[in-house]
Amino acid sequence: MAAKRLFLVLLCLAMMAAPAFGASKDIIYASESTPKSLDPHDTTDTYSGAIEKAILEGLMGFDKDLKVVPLLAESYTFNNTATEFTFKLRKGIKFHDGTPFNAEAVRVNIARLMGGKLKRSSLMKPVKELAVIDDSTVKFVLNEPFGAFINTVAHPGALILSPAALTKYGDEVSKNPVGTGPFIFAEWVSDTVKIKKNPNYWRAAVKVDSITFRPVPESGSRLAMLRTGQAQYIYPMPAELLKVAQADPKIDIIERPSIVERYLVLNTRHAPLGDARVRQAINYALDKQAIIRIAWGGAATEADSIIPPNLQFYKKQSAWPYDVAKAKALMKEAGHEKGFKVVFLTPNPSNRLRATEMVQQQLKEINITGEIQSMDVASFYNKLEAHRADDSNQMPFIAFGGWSSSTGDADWGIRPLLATQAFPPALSNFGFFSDKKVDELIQAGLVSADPAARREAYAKCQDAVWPMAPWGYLFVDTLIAAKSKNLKGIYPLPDGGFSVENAELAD
Amino acid sequence: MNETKATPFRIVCYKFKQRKTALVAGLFIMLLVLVAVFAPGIAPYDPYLTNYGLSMLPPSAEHWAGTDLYGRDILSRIIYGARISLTVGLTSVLVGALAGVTLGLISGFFGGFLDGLIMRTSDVLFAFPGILLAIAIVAILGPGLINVVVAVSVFSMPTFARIVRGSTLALKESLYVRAARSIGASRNRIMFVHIMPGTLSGVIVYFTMRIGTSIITAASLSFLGLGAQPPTPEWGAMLAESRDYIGVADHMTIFPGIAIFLTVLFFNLFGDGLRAALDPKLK
Repeated sequence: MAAKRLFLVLLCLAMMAAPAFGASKDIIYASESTPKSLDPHDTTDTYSGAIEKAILEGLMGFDKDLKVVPLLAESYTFNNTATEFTFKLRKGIKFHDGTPFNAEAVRVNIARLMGGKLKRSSLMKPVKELAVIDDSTVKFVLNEPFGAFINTVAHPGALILSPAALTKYGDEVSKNPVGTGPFIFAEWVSDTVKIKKNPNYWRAAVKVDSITFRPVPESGSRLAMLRTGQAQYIYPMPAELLKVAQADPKIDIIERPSIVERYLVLNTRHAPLGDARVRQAINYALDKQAIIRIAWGGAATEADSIIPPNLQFYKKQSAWPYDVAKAKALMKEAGHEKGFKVVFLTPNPSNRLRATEMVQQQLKEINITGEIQSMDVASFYNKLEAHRADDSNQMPFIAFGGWSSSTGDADWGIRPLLATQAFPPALSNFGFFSDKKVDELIQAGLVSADPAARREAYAKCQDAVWPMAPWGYLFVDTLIAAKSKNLKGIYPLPDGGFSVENAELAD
Repeated sequence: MNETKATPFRIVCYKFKQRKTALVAGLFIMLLVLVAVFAPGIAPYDPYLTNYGLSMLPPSAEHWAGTDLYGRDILSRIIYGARISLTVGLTSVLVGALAGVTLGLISGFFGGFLDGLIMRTSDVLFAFPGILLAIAIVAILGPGLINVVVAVSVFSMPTFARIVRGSTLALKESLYVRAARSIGASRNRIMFVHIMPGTLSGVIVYFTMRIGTSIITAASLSFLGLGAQPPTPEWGAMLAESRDYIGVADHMTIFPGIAIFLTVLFFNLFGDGLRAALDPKLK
């Protein structure tokens, strides 16, 4: 009898206490993508990288405008020739498993990357050696000058894992990441990743208890989940359905400029497209504003340089106005008044298909006509990568291209796309654009770490390339996310990733 | 008195007229054919004419079915789309029927090894769900309307072959065929003059029903991006283009959807009516 009474009392107490537990703050993030790996050194996709950044931190990081800021490093210095970079590390930080963060931890991580077998090993390719100066100082010595190296260190591929976890899990660390970040990895069950609050985070108190990243590939379902409260944050928010979301009083729309530039790759090895006047005519014939409004749901801004404004060392150029008469005159001058046939290549996600269809409609005005070939993203890039500059029979393609420079620096936004040494299969200069002066300017930007010198080189480079029109310039994506009104502090980053560190859920 | 004789054709016509739904279906199909033939005269606008200023307008007096993403008139596109859907539906079934009937006749008439070969090949084709087989064929041949026709023909073929083989087996043993053989008629004459007409009633019914299926298969393939390529005003392709805007501009999906739905429905109702009229067991 006494036991029974005690049980009832306890039960009552438990029920009274329950509401306090019930107020736990959990966020569900509905995404388009699925995570591929949580090992930063072996990750190439932005989505996995962004989850990793909630758990792990690097020596340097990016702020919300993609400017490089110190994170686990307190400060850094470099020599004049951009071959030596020395980092002073923060003291007193511990990994989630209690291992102290120090120079040895950095050495273990960089050595793992330099091992060469992981997907992000290429980041450390310029590094000759990493010297541990003392417990809180490390020095990278490079093989040759590389001015953008600080951005490389800030890249999500160079996040620092706990050395103890690396020993314990080996490459299985991809499913058990342990870092110094604001959140601790909790579980990964069938494409859904859950992270929970790190109560001892060194920078500030974390304000939510957990975040669950759940893939919902169908865009209409994502929006429906947000509207019914089954998710608090969705990305990407489909631009086509903006009207529906804007009409919902419980939803906030977040729009931010990205670093994703979209352009038409023109095969400059095909005779007519090799003529700069024809490429200029194409740029005059494109109604960029209409394409943004109709094909992209308005979620973009017209491109005004070969790199987007959010990249370091961007320099604004004058726009190519939509002017069909001028385009026709240029075609006539180049001797192609009657036009020619091309092939429009495009990946098949519907917005890109729409944009390509509009390009097809608009170029018809200057008698450039052809069929659209659409295919899945992987086949599209396989097809472009298969072409060679010296192929005797050049396919006259106009391909819908896009590029996101995840280091935030001009170098990675220009060199892989427009340098002569970047012809496929090496990198992604799929249109085989080649210009000696441009190559020199790209090199000039690489050999110094002095921001002023690099700024000048990249400014000249952008000035030089823009009028040569290697591409049909289109636009820079605007990122659109949507969240419930009571959620604060989560926002999309310009590279398509996101930051959840300051997430906060109002009652 | 001018007494009309009850010829088989008149009986069929009479029975068909009894079925009101089939009659309506027949009239609709005639109308659709007329629309398709005279599309340039009927369509209020050029189906390819873009006007970005008129993007996604709802139905109005100027544009009865509204405009699409690029400001093209949806009604005009549906009218031109009827040409494509009917052509694809008819040609693919016609090709499938010609090949299938011939193979079925050969199979049923000669029997033995040829019969085994043709019927086992049909069994293999039957093993695939129709749309899957069509996707596989288009994946091999590459996207495009002509390849869609080929794909749909291929998967219509085995059913025709099987229907014709069945009737051929029965007719082969019938008295009039034996009589024809006994007076020395050639094999070809027996096959094509004596047996084939007897198999046709089943073929005609299946043929009509099949057109509906072919139209929907072609539209599905275009919806998946394997059939008609932009800017062709194919109904399935129009649906695919507008599906991202459901909830924002519903008219862009509703009208092509209705066009596909009604066409397929009426072809099936028409086929049903024909079946009833041609079946001697049904009164």
